[in-house]
Amino acid sequence: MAESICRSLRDGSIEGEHSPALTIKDSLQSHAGTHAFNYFLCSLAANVCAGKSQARGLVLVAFSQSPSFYLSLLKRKRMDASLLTKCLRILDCYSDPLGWKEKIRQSSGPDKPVFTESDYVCRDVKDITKLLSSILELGKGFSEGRAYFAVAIDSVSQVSSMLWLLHADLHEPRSTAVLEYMSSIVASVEPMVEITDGQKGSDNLFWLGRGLQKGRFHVRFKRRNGRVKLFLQFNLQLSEKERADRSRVLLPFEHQGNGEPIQIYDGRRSLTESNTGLNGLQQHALSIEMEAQRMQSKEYSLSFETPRSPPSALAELIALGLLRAPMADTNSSLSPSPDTRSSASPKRDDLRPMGIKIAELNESQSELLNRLQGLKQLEDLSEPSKEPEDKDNANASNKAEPSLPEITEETSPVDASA
Amino acid sequence: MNHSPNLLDEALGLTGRGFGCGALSQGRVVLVEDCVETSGAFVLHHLVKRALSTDSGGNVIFIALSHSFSHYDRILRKLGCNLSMHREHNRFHFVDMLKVEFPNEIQKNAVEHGLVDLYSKILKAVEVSSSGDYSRAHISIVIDDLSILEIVAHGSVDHVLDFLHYCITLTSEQDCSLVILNHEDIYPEMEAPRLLSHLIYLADFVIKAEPLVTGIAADVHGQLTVLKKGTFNDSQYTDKASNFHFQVKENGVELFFPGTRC
Repeated sequence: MAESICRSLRDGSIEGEHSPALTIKDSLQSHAGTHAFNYFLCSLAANVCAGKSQARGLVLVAFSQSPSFYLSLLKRKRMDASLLTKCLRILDCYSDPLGWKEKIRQSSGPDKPVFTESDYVCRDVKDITKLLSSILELGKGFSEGRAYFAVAIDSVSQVSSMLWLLHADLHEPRSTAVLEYMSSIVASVEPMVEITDGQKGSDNLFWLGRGLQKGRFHVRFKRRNGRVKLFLQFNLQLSEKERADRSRVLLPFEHQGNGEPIQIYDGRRSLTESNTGLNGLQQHALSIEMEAQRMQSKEYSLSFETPRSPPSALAELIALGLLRAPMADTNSSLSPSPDTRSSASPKRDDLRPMGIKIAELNESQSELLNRLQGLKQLEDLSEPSKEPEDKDNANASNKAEPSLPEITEETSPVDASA
Repeated sequence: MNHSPNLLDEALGLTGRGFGCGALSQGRVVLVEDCVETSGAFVLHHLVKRALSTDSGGNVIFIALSHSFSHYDRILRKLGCNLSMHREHNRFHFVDMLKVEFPNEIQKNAVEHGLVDLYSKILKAVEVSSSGDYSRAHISIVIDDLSILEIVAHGSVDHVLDFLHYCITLTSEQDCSLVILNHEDIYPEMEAPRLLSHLIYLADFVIKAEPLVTGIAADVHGQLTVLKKGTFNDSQYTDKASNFHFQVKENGVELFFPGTRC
């Protein structure tokens, strides 16, 4: 975040937009704002000196610290003193902001020592117009920055970027808000833990003591032209290649019922291991997975144009209600009457091995209830697959339908009795 | 005279030995906040004594708004520091502001003029201090207390802050430090933050004198919390807060961590 702030201060204003204006806001609870200000000031000064920035110079308006403090600060950052004198002008609003010293000096005689740390001393900060014109004057020399508030002006006497520091709790909220409206970047230094009103007295001081060591740095960027800067990008559309890749992915349950061992992916024991085949419990789990995958399979099935394996094709045809007879044929040994099945649910196919089906028939009565539940959900799922335009993809029919028929057959009597 | 550093000296970094080490370093601003139950005046007395001690050999400019010179003279004498003598040697400059008034009705901008006058007095005292035998000595400017200055300024916080700003500029130009005493319980709830927050922003050390949370005790008069704000000159930014109890005695103050005194 700090980097992007440095960059926008360095890059300056874009044609037709206001120049970047950074407000650094802190409060007593976390009073590291001065540190943050000094950091950005040094970074901007370094960029200006190195000629990397849009601004050709920096005008620093020093209110809270003396010019010599800033000079030594910048020199400590290993900045070349000769470059600094070339690129940095400090408007001294610190030494004598109200002209008191000048007044005393005049009244007591001109021989008094004068402490001048800077060539540019502002002696009446209350005259804002004058202050502004002095800033602009210095800026025409080239550019700017400042202490309680900082400014940067370009060589064409245009402001390239600005930054200022603000102690939020010394001002009315509305003044703070106005400054925030005016600035394009607001960086606030906040404490990790807010002090509540209840914590007063020495507790409060202790909190202050911790305020500087840890804090949050919260930055808000605004663009003048109303564009919103997105840091994250979402893409809800799939490209052709992505779609093709996606259709090639074999989902965990796609092979279920194709003669391979049935596996459960939710951590429970596999049915083949426990030798119970597909029971209601598994069916239930499967139906949940189905639910989760339904949208996906629908989506990619639309682009699924490659020839399908015979079982899937068969399943689809069955799903479309075109091939009811063969299905009845394969199930004839298990289904007492096709009427029961058709009335209970729209079953279409049964592609699972006979052994499993037989095992299921031997299951205990208590499991029937579970399977009934699974059935109900599968019914819901299978409804849309009947739509011809939906072409209910092979995957869905393959993985979802296999166990359906027996379950319905077994449970339909229970259902009826219930 | 007992110059062994106590907990307060440690917290303020006055523990060094040798000439000049007993005084605050240049540019430091110390804010002492007290309340009506627990007076923080003893902290001022202690700092004045430290500043004038032979170890530090510093000068003091004392802006007195709440008490007369004889009051401080008596107290400091008990602490082992002869103010009258230091005054004669121009090491202790007493600016008597007890009867000061800035009548706004008579003169326009009387408050500002009055404060400029006061500032010029301080400037003069600084000049005298830096030209005498102790020309290179550290100068402590002590204000006792700021709340009365605010009253004198007809409650104008801006003027008080302007004045303080000038005092602080002095600390960056010369080897000066500033010690301010202020009361924290004299402001209405809503109004307090402005001046007090300003002062805390300005200060490098905040010393808060409070009564004990547990109530009045015979042998403990209150607690002091000292907050040292991180200085941005160093590469390290460490705030440090310490808290200890105190008992004000006839000839000094005893400071100890809670529970460490038998």
